[in-house]
Amino acid sequence: MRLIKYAVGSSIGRKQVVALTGLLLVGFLASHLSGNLLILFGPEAFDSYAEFLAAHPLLIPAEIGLAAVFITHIVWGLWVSFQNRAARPDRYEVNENEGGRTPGSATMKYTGVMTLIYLLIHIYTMKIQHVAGTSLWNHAVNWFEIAPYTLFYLFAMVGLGLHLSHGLKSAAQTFGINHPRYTPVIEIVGFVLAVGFGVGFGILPIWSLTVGSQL
Amino acid sequence: MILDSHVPDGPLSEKWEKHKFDLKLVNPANKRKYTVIVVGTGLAGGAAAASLSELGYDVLNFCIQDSPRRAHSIAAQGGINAAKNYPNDGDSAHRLFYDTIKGGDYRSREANVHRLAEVSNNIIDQCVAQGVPFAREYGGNLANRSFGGAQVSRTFYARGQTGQQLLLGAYGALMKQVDAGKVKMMPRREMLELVLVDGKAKGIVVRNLVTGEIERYSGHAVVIATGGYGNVFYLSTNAANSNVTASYRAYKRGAFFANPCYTQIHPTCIPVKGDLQSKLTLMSESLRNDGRVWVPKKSGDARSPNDIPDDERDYYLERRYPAFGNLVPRDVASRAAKKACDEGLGVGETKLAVYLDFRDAIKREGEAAIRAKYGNLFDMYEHITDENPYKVPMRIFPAVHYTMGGLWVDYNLMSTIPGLFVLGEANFSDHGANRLGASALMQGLADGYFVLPATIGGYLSSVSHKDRPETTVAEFDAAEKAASDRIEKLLGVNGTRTAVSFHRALGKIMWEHCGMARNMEGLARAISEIAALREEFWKDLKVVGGADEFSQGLERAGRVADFMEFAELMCRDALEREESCGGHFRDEHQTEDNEAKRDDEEFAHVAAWEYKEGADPVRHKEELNFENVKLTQRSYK
Amino acid sequence: MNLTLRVWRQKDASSEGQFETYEAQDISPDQSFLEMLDAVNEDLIVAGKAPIAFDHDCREGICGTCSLVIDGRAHGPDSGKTTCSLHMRRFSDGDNIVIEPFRAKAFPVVRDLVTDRSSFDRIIQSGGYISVKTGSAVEANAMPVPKENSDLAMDAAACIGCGACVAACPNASAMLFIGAKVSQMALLPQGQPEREQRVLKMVDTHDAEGFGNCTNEYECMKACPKEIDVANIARLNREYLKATITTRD
Repeated sequence: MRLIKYAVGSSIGRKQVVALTGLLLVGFLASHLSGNLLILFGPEAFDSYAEFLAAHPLLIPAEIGLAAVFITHIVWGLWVSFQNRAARPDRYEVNENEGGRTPGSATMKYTGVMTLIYLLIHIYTMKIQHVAGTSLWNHAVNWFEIAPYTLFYLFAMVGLGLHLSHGLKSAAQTFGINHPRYTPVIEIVGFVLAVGFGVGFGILPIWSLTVGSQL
Repeated sequence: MILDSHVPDGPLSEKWEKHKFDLKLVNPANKRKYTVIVVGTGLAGGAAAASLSELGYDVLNFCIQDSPRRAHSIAAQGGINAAKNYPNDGDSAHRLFYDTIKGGDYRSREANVHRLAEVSNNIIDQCVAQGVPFAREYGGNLANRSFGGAQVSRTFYARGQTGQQLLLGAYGALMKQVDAGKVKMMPRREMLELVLVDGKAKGIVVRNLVTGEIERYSGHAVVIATGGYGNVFYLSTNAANSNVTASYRAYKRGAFFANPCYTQIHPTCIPVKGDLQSKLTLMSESLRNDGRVWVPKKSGDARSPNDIPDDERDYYLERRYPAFGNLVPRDVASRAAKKACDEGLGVGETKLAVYLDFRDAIKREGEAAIRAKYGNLFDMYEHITDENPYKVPMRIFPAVHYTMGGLWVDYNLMSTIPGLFVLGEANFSDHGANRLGASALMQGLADGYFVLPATIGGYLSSVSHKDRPETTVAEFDAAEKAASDRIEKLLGVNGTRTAVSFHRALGKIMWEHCGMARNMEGLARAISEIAALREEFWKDLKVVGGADEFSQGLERAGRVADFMEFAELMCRDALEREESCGGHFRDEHQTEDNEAKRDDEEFAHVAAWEYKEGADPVRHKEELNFENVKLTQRSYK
Repeated sequence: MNLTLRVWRQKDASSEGQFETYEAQDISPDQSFLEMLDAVNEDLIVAGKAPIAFDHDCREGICGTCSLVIDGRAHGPDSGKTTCSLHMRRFSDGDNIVIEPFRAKAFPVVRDLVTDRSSFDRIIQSGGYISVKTGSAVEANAMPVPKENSDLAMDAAACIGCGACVAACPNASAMLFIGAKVSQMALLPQGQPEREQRVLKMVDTHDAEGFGNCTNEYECMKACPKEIDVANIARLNREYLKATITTRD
């Protein structure tokens, strides 16, 4: 009973659900990025990795699990956002920061929504639209040659970086990790990871347009 | 009427134990049938409401603030005394008793003060158990410091926020009882009338400050714990909403008011600047451990203090009191500052300030050491005055801080009205004519946690639980009518001046004539000026808004109206007390070196004033008998 | 100096509010912000207009009664200070100042700038204390407390319950307020018996009162006049998680 109340009916429980799913998604992003970086090693490397994944018997269960984590993160995150809005029905005339907010923290819900939109487009372009058996590498690089798409992609990756810049240290705080010795380290690691993911994913179209399209 | 203090017989140190045994008890099963009204949620009221309800009584608790946690006890900085003798420096309940009696200039009741010293240790135990984070040693035990010139280290403290932490402890206990349904908490209510039925206190009439409604509450006993009346001076270190109304209403219903002239002036406050100042800020007197107090020798010396050479400075405390120097007690330091200013030696824009100079301490110990000791106080000073006290001397001036006088109570803390109990700063009993540092918190909590819960049973056991009037009886009608009529009267004047402007004018009269030094002529003048101001008030007051709405202007007007009447009582009391003692200094009664001169032959008594409708109040005496201490003249030379 | 104020006026909880503009004239830089409002009110009363209602009491930064959001900042622009300790020298001649009440669903407006913060009392009622009956306490030194824990407990206990954390929080969350109380008690041996139930009940009440969820933006800590650290929220979070797992309910 307490556990249900915790995950559904309590403010701290809900945000710990968001934090936990967020951390799991960071794990997914890490593996996804390392796989995607194979693009830089040319079509063979990347396509064989893609085919290996597509043929893997655990792909479907993993995708279901991943979807569940994503959906939980999104639903709980939006839920928390709407509640937070309801907690202040009358807005302030003047909104001035006290100095605690960061660009990442202040834009969390916007970067979250943007990442969600990107995610839907990404699933459509890379999963639904991609014809099985053809080179996913070619498919991806071709998409990057469409300027508006690439611009949106880059924009989304900046958003993702921002989202993570707050998300990682925030998750630590949410699970109660705040310590004069470790918190500064967590903040640095969080920042480096956020930049790493942003740059890591962001480098793909840039490489594709400069080096990849020449291959 | 003979004032009977009901102090029990027997040796001093056994009186309280004996008395507790002699008090009749209320059957535990019957306690819930008794309702006690507690007005105020500070250390005394909050502790009492919580403790009484733990005993099983049904408690109604009122406060004017939006939350019981904001009572003005919260602002006490220094600490709380107890005779634990943890430092092994020879302290004992008897020594705490002796110091408190002596510090009060032998104008308090021996038995009350001894009881206070006895229960002081229980207070510390209680507060620690509640989670009050007192300062500790590295070994994990409680830390003590010496405070206010005491010869032993008996003061417990929580940084500079001891009052806050103790109050939050009591507030926690109170909230626990509210959650248990044993205390009904009613914030934002102001007591406007005490209701007597058959001569006993049986209820109160309050104004709901949010809706403006007048509400009636009845009970088997009423407890007033509404603090002191320092705001009669307009400028004081008290909170803006602190007032005398509840006490004064009780006085007008027959409770005697004792020693209203005993007020404490704290020497180290930030001086007044400008007419619109609303509040004086106190800085811990620990500053005098390292700061040296001086004024220029030459009147009207306009040089910057740092340009005045040492031989042109008068370190008057060190000169006049070579033994104690800058560490003389509060009343002595305050009067000396006033004397310097009266002689035209005051400094700053208003010439109503003296220097408190840390130059030598900084030279001796380095700025870092001084910053470590007083950094927060220096920051506060700089924030308020925009001057850097590391570079230029602080300017300080005395300010009204605490009122020792209050409603007269007997040993049971019951007033002259049966069933009306008075606790904390609102009563008069334990501090005599001068309160020692770190004693106010002790008294408030002693009254609330340990004294009243024992003594109220003695009263309630004599009252049938059926003896609680309905709030529809004629006495309540009359009380409500009196309260509403007064409000209507305040709203009906419709003149041109605000209540605040009258309050400011009243404060000026009081500070001038009934402040740090008083004399016959000035007090007589004050009484006539107050009467004139009062007349003006009822002719020219302006309050905007109606009776049935949230109206801070109306609240203020009602409080000022009571201060106007009460101020006169203070002056009368000061006039009649033809001696100097503690915080009460009469120019006519001083030694050759301008020290206070007590008159133990004539004035070793409590003056308790009885209200008379349409006539002058009557002064009654309660003789003070000192069987355990020898009366001596205080000397700090 | 002369200033133009835009002040939120609202007759009572059920009325609609709006901003009104007032001129504050001949204000001295030594006045406190509340004394500036006092002066404006004096003029309003003399002119027969309703004065601006605002909560205040001790005027020395400890009672937690004063509030106000001044130009978008809870307790005004100075950090570590309450509104009553804010001085007019912080402003310049000709400034426009916007004054609003603390805004949160859990802090309904009573009148003008006065809000009802009794939700804080109800949070404390649900467990923000140690249940010890008067007279039943053990000897004060019977339980030593490590100085470091005692100091951390004092840091947390410094909370004045003003509600600036809620006012400044983009989500109107009161986590810093609860975190401070839960931390104080969790750090002390006296607080152990009720440790689990305390955090569960206090968070339940917090949520029921309509406060928002903490998203770790730390605006609360920056607005807090007592500079209470968000480490207390972290402690609250882990106390809550731990209690959820171990409770037998």
